Amino acid sequence: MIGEVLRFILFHYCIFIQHRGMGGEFDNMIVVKNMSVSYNGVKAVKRVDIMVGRGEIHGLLGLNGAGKTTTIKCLVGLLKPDYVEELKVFGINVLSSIEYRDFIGYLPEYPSLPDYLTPREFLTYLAKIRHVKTKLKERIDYMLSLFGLDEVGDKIIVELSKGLKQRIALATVFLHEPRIVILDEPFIGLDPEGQMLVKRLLSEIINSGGAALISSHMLDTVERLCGKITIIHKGRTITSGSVKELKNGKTLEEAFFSIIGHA
Amino acid sequence: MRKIITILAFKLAQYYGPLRYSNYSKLLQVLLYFLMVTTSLFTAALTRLLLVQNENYILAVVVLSISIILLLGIYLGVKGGVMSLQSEIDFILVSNVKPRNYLLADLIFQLILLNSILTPSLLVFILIISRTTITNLINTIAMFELTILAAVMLSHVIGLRKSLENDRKVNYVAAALAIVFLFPVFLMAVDAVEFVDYTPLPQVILAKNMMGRGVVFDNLAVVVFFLCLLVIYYKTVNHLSSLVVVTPLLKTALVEVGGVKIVKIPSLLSIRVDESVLISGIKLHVIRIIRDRSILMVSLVALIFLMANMAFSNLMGDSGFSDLAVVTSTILYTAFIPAVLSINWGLFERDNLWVFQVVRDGIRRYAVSLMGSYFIVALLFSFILYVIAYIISGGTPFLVLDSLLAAAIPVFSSLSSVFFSFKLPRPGNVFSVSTLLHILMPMIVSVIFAFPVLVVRTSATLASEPPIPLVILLMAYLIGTAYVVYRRVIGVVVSSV
Repeated sequence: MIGEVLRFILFHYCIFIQHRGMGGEFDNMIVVKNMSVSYNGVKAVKRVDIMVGRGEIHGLLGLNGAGKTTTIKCLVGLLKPDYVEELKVFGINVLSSIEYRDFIGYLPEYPSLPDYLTPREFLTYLAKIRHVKTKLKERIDYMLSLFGLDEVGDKIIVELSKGLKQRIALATVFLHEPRIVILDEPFIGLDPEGQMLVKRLLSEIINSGGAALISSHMLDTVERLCGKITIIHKGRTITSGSVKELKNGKTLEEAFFSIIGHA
Repeated sequence: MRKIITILAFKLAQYYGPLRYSNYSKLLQVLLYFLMVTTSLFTAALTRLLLVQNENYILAVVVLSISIILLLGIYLGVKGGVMSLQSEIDFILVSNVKPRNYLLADLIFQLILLNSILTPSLLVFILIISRTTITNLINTIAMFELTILAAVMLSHVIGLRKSLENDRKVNYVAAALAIVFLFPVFLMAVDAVEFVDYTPLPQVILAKNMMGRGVVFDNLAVVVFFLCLLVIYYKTVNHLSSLVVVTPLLKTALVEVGGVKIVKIPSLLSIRVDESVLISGIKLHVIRIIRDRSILMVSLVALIFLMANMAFSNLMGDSGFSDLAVVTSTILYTAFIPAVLSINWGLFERDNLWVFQVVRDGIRRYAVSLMGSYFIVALLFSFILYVIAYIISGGTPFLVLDSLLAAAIPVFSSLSSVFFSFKLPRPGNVFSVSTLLHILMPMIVSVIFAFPVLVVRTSATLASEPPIPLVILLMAYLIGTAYVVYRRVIGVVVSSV
């Protein structure tokens, strides 16, 4: 137990020193360089490059099957790439260490939740394994209230609506105050109030020096929310840059199809 | 007719889909059949050897086999009766297919499916135990097929009636039928085996015909039983105007969860902020096991095992094996508990692993608490079953060794169940090969690991007064092996997800 605590402190101290020394390099909170991934025997990702800077909300766009979800799964450690030159989250190599997971919040495209637990039970357990030590009960109450779940906090999840389940899944993302959030289609099934809340929480993260990577099909939302965008097509990054640059005077939809068309 | 064949082909293609393209699935299927046939042969030969030539006992065992098939039909009926897959629910059940066409296709499908499971196990067992002659072979097989047909029809009738009428009323009828089918087992349990022969119940008559002991009355009774069943079946299907009301079976787990309400849990199980992550994790798994009603399934099977325990204890009373029958049955049952829990885990919980995968050390903590919860539930039932079985049978427990066994089997079955939960393909439905392997493998593994204790337990001289060094040696073996297996399982689980 003591060994574990010492190891934890030492690790975070090393990260702190390493990041201080790295200066500008660590401004890239997420780095993916030349990554290829096979999924179920099919080459889902052929060559993907993504850079997400500190204080940035980065949009990941692409048609169905472009490789967005596969890329995200590699970033959070759910899939292993066949080949990658560099894959770092929070300055930590994803393939050689799992400690970066303390700093990330992740939402999958179709989040599955434990049907037979209540949101309060689930979040409490998750907070414990997420090492949320201080004022755990207050934190859970706050998260339930923040996501409008206080009235259903003690109901079984299976009884709740799709939108409420999405809110629970989102609460798991922000529960441990992550520095980086990686969200795969976060707005599906979420009402305007929920969407507004997510946007506010994302703003708080980037204002505190964090970053966010969001995959979404909602081009208008991406346009309003994200500072930079990476477009993936048929498993390859075909362009990346600020929204303004990519739009080049057009709407994002026109620009997107124009870029995809030329790829 | 063409529509029926089309639906049947669709169902078969969907259900046996993995066999068409996966060599691994084919291998699993072959392995499973091999296990089923050899187990049946071994059990039948052993039972025949122990029961010697007592025809009443043999009849009672065949009746028990038929009761199992009919009870399976009732169980399927209570769970919904119609074996629909998700794709059928989405595309066929909402189409303009006539209900009777779909149901007929489903009836044939269930006949094929139940035959594929029951023929290599129960038919082989019945043929060996009843020493069926070549002349009686066709008769035995025909009666066996009729029994399966009756089970499928019962399943449909109960399932459809549940959709059409008052759910609770049909459940009561199903429970009453189950008691009727279990009645001969009750006679065996109270040591009144000779009365089984005189009980005019369908399963007894079918068993007598199967063994070639049926008289004209018995043949007539079989015809009347099936005519009644056909009339009820026809009337039920005719009542059905739409398939949408059907509760599909194959999308549910081992225990039906329909109309779930929050179950009040004891305050002992409520999660406390200041307790360790492991304790919280174990509590949460136990809460889920209570709420998803896996615990009901476990309790129900405990009741059946208890009756089987007593029945076999009585059947083998003269051969001096009654004590051993209690132990063996309890061991098998205890190993069965984590296996059943792991199937429901696979159906309800496996998809949620993403939550723990993205947390540092999340999967290890999750798996350890899962093992802990399986162990606690299995241990509890194991001791309860031992105590009740000994009180009823009046046997003398060998306290030290029985306690060791009662603790060892839950440990190894919990460890192996978690291992196979993560390593085996997810159970697609209650009858998939994977489901059966989820049940069989932990039972085999736990018996293998606890074998040294079992061997000592079977020796009456050693078991009555075990030398202290032997007990210490056995305990050291169990603790050491459990630790090694635990480390290995955790290593594999963490690296496999």
